[in-house]
Amino acid sequence: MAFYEQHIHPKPTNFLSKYIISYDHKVIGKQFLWYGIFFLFVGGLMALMIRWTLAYPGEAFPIIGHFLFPESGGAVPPDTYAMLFTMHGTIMIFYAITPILIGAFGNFCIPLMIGARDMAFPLLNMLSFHVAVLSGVVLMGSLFTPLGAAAGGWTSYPTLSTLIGSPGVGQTLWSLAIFIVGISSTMGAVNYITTIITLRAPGMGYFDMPLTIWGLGLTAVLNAIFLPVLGAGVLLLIFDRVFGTTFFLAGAAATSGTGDPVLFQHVFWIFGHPEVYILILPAWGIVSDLLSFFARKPAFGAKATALSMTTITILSTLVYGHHMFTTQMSPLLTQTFMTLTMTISIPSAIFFANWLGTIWKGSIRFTSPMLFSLGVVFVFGLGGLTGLYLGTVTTDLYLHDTYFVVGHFHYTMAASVLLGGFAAIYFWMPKMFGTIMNEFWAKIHFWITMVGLNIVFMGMLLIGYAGMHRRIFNPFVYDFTQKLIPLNEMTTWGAIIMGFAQLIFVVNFVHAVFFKKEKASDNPWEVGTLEWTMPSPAPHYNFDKIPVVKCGPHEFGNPNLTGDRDFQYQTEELA
Amino acid sequence: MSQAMTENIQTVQSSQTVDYTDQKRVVNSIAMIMILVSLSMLFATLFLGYTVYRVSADTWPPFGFETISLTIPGISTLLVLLSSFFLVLFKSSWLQEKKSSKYFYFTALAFGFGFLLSQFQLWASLKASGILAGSSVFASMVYAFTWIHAAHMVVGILALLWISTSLKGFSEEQLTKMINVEKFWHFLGVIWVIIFFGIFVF
Amino acid sequence: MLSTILLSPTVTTAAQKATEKMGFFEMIAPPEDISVHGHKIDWLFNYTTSMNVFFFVLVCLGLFGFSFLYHRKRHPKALYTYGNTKSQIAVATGIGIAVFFGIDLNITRISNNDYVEVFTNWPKADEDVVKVEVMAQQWAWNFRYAGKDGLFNTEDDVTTLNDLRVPAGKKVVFQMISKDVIHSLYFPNARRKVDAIPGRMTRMWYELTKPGVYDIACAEMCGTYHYRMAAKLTVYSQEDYDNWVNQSQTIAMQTNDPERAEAFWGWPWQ
Repeated sequence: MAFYEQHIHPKPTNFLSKYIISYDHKVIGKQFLWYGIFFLFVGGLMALMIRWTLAYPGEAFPIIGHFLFPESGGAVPPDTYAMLFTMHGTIMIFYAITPILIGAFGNFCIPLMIGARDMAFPLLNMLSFHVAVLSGVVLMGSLFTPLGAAAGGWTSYPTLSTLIGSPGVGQTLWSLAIFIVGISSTMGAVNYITTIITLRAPGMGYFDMPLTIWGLGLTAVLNAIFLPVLGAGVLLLIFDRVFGTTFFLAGAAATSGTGDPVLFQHVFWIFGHPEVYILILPAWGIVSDLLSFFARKPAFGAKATALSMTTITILSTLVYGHHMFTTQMSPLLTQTFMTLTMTISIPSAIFFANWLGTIWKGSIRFTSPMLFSLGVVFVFGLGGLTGLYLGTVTTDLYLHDTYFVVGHFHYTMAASVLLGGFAAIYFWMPKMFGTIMNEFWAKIHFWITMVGLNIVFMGMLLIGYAGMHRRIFNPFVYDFTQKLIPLNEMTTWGAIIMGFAQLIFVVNFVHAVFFKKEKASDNPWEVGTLEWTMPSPAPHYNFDKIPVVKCGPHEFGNPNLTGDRDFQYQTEELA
Repeated sequence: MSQAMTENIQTVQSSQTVDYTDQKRVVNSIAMIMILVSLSMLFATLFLGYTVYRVSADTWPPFGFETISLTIPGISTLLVLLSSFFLVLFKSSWLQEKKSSKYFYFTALAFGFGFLLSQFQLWASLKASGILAGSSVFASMVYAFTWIHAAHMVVGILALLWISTSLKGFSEEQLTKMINVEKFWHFLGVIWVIIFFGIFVF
Repeated sequence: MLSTILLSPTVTTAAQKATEKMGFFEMIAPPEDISVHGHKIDWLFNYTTSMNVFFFVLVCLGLFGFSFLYHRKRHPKALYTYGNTKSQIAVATGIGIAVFFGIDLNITRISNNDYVEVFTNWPKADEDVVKVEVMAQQWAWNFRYAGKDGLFNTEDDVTTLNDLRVPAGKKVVFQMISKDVIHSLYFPNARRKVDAIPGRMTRMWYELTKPGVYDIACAEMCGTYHYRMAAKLTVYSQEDYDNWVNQSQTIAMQTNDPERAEAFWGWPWQ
């Protein structure tokens, strides 16, 4: 669709309109970034407590344990442990990854990269952040309720999550918070889709969009379609808890009615499997772009990569059954879901080939964003391949609900997305805050994180293969887990290493945002996409004059180029 | 720089004013369609649940329950259809800038309120006949559907009130608003009809 | 209360001593396989692993190899290609197809065959099997054997708590429900688990080979004490099992109280 001129809000003058109720997509992106980093810290601290408990059950958590758990002498008590892993999962997925990759970079990058002055609906955009904050407050508030926060796992299967299993108000608040965050994400998604369809700069076809935008757009589509499914699920859960309906109640302990707890699992995973791709698609898009940018070479098979991502988006909606193999499905269903699950590996393999094809015969600049992108290729390879064990029904009978599953989804969702997020932060830092982060410390950060996360998640895979199951407070009450104590300790120390590595990032980031005097140049990475045609940081309403796009986003090393540049801007005629 | 930018923006805007509202309408329609897709998924999930319960139940409605009388839901259906009908009349007469258009508007609004009232009546009558939300999964389903739908109807009525400003006269922006509110309102009507036939009739 | 729950540190150190001499691969090996069909799962796991290692090595060769070879110092001028020539597309597609037919369809076929022919191939009604009814509750496993009359939920049933005893060399069939929340009956040594769900019955069968005492765990999050929802699996030789059954049936006849309604949580075998 053709471009239209947007309504321009006046430049904000005071603090409130500049940072709190801003219509500017760049400010909203930064709001989401800080919000996400805050929750990343909270969720990460919870992860360390969980890991500590798994390695040293009953021993005081170092330094802050005595403040947090005075009754148990500083050790994490078992009921708190259940809250910790529940909140860790929920926070990381809905309050850390979603805001950072989709909220922050979705908001920041979409208008800049497609050549728009702002999102299609700035007000909706602003409200989406405020609703997200409301949801965050509800979730954090649930930690301070009398019986504590939700403790049924992030999947919250009934009947554990109904009044039978968790009588406290925490679980109700959890459901409410998820419902609200769903509204926020849906608002964002509607905005992203509309923006991408209608506000692309003149001349920009869908395949002229950077792959980042492809990833974010497909994520938005999945969000808009599948978050309401979760919304309906948790709404029914809230009804069960508050109004006494009987959707998910069954069994001897249910005093009235006979619902079906497995229905929630269906609803949850109809949403839940696309959610995995909601989280990873932006990272894929970002990595596909960055590999090309720093290999100084057009993205290999960019069209095929975009179409592969689209195929995966479609397939992801059809495979959810593999999360429920142990509820005893009929062999017909298991076979269907198993085969569909496996077909996902065709597009995955194609874009893996494209990623490697992109760096093949490139001229690779090992900047920090590039290192993180290459890291994503490595860890997502591991994460993707370990998924095969869980997609086949018989191996899943053994591995389901063991630490193998935990290791697998941390490799795909945590490691890949985290590294992708860091790549994005390091890369767009100049355009966001006008400064560039210290490259030396960024690389140190990368290597320590990489070592730490591989120890943690590989440790989880090994522990899981040895049979240790998930969500247990003290793994060593069993005979068969006794031998896993050293491995659990190693995993925990990996987590501690990884946790401390993030301090390097925080110092580097805070320094670059608030204290660094030296300003970044307009185009420090020498990249040709639209956001690098404007000054750093991006000015109010982005484009002085709406650009006209004349070539694709990955034009590097064109032999017809004259002069000392090896790239061309998207606004330039192809040489 | 900002000086140059503002000038530039102004020139672009003034040269494209006619285009602007046209484009804006398409943009808003796309967003509205996405919202309706989202909401359809919400209701589709509820229908999925309903289908699962219904198919797996031995008898339906479950043992000990009479089928709910069709009188009140039938009246609700009539009201919601009439409301949609008068909204269509309102829009066409408003486009012709007829004076009578405001009567159609208020009739549509009144039928909307009437629908909500009929819902309260439905809940009261269910309660009176001893069917509570926790009585059985059948009763739970009826309540959940009507609650969620009624909550959306409240939003719909607020949206109808929001376009009351259009009674002052025709403008392109009002038309954009009206098209989208109309879409939303008809969508809710369609959902109710599906609920009516899916749950109350069959 | 809490001190009884927390494992005392002395146990941890004792266990640590036991694992000190253990090799790494011994440590990460799954628990000993004591079932007739567990090796099918182990085999498929190892098969998938070998395939995965092959493809992951390819990815790493590309990743590290290209990173080394095409560092800007060694390769200052990048090749200008979109990767859309016929041969390039053929390679990318070829990799996709190779992965799909090389690993995916193979393991899908094998896994499905195992699932249909073994794991869901229920023993015939007239087969001589050990039948056990299981009721999971927060946080314990109740097991029920039919007793002398061969009927479930009658006065002479043998019931045990967190104590499952089965013979080696005979098929064991479980039917299970849950009283409150979802649990999952997990036999690490048999490589099997199945959820126990309130309001619906699930089934599982296996055949064990090796007498001994093993762990049973709950694999599905079921509340605060999920981690302690452990039971013991005792595998007897047929002879020992018969002895135990006779003995416990006699005890059951004497001690079962027909007035206690909650003792009759079983159901007719289906």
